[in-house]
Amino acid sequence: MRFAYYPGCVGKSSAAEVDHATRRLAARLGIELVELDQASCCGATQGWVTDPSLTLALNARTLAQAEGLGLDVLTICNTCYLSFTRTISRLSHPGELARVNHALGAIGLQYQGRARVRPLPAVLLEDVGAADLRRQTRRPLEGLRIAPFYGCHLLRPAPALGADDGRSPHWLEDLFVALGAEAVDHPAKTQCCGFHILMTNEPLGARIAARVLQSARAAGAACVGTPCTQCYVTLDAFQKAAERESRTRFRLPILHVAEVAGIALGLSGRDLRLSSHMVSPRSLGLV
Amino acid sequence: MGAGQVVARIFSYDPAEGREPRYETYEIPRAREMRVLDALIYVVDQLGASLAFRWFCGVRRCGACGVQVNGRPVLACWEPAAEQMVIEPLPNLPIVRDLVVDHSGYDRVVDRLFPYLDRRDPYQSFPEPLTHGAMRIPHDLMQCVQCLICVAACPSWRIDGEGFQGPAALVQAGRFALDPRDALDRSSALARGLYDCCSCYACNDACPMGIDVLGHAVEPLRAACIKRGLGEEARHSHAFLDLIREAGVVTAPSLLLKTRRAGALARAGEGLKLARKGKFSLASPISTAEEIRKVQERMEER
Ligand code: SF4
Ligand code: SF4
Ligand code: FES
Repeated sequence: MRFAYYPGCVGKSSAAEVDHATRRLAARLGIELVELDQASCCGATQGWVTDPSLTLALNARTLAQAEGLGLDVLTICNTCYLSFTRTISRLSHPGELARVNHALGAIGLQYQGRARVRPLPAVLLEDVGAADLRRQTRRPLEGLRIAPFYGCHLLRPAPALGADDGRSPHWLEDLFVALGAEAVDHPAKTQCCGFHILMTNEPLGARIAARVLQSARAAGAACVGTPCTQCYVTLDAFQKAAERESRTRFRLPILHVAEVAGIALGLSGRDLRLSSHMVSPRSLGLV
Repeated sequence: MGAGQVVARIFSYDPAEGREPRYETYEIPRAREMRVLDALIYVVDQLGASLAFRWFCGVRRCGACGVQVNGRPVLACWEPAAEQMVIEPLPNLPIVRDLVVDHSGYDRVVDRLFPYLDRRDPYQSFPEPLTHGAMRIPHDLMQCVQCLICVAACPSWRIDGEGFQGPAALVQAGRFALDPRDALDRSSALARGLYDCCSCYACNDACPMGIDVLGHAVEPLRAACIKRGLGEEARHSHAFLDLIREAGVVTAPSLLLKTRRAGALARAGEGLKLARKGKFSLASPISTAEEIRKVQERMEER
């Protein structure tokens, strides 16, 4: 199994430990990652409103780089996933495609429409498979009460995996259960973490994050597990801000899917750089 | 519970009575193609319950019948009844009584956004020379029945109507502002709150009319405000794109430095701790500014 790996800007800076965990996890599973190290930012939500045509073209450039390797793109961030799928759907219009390929011609690239984008949990569940994951588990997460937190963009506007309409997903639960953990249901699991307004309105973003943390805590979870680097940063690094805004103490460790799987598959806390978390996962007694 | 029954736990509250809200449970015989609205009507007409709820058209037109069913905001007249239902008023809005919520905060927000077509040019002829392409977005927004289900689903909306206008009001603003015949500049009224949308698509997902609220209202209106440089957030957006053009990648510290908000890093005393954990590392720029410039030039050619 090989993928063109796109860690995303958050994975390259504020959530560098998740990027690191993803590489270790892939190595452990025999998945080869070829990093798209000349790829640009996906534009997130800003790019599409501030300069949509540049955003479209730069994402097409990234996808063309993956096509050049003959590989699908692997993402660890929900919004990177959305931004690429948005690009792919816009480029299904022949006019847009011609315009973008004219631009990419200036740097010797062409977008063919072949590369698919795969979020990490899709690769774990659909390519590796739950049965295989279970077999490879070295440190089953027995008794770990983990609250799945999907975030937005793997569910909305269109579900990235699972057969349902994105309203009652259970693939994150399936993944955590395959790894031996206990998935705790809670009402905010498909809501927003608040990331996209943290830079412009931190108090509001932190209040939105607090609702998620409150929901997980009230359900009796010991930690939260998410497929997205942005959700991870919001709920972990901004947990203090969320505590301040809601006048509640959470102290909930947040784990990215790459970390949950990494722990279950026997990687060490040092391997996973868990000490980079703001809310230490050590209290979970796993590593 | 028999197989042919619907069990509904319905929220009951009258602020005038001064007692705590409670839930009343009703058993309702299941009918074919039964909707949530049918269950509510049965509870009042056949069981004699005192229950306040709104409806008028019964066919997804008037927008009056929004309620929350099993945690999801829906139109009562457009939602199949489930065997077990918890029926509550739409969240995020003040409760008038039982399932009836107060829409007036929304009305006030809409009023401030000039919800009418303000044309400079007089009618040229009938029919007007409009193309489908030019009317595609306003036409989608015209489907809005103002049910406020998107508002109930929106994490950024605050009941007081201060700050963020909320998705439904932005749909009304967009319906006119994005109409090719409209000539009124609403951007300064909009810029006061519209950047608080966190792009979660909860509105799109919840809208019973299938309106692309984020893509057809919030984003185009926001794009217009950014273009005009309105608000600190516009500076943030331009800085974000400048970073992509210069370095290819965007990180929190580079963005804050660029928007001259570095002080925000240290605020609340968490900055240092975050920095120690490597949360403020500057991702190494990719060496492709030249490539990006070439791509941009060509994109701007036509
Ligand atoms: S996308 Fe924006 S407007 Fe829509 S529900 Fe989310 S925050 Fe509210
Ligand atoms: S946009 Fe959709 S959900 Fe929102 S008020 Fe209009 S019809 Fe209702
Ligand atoms: S009763 Fe009119 S929309 Fe439901």
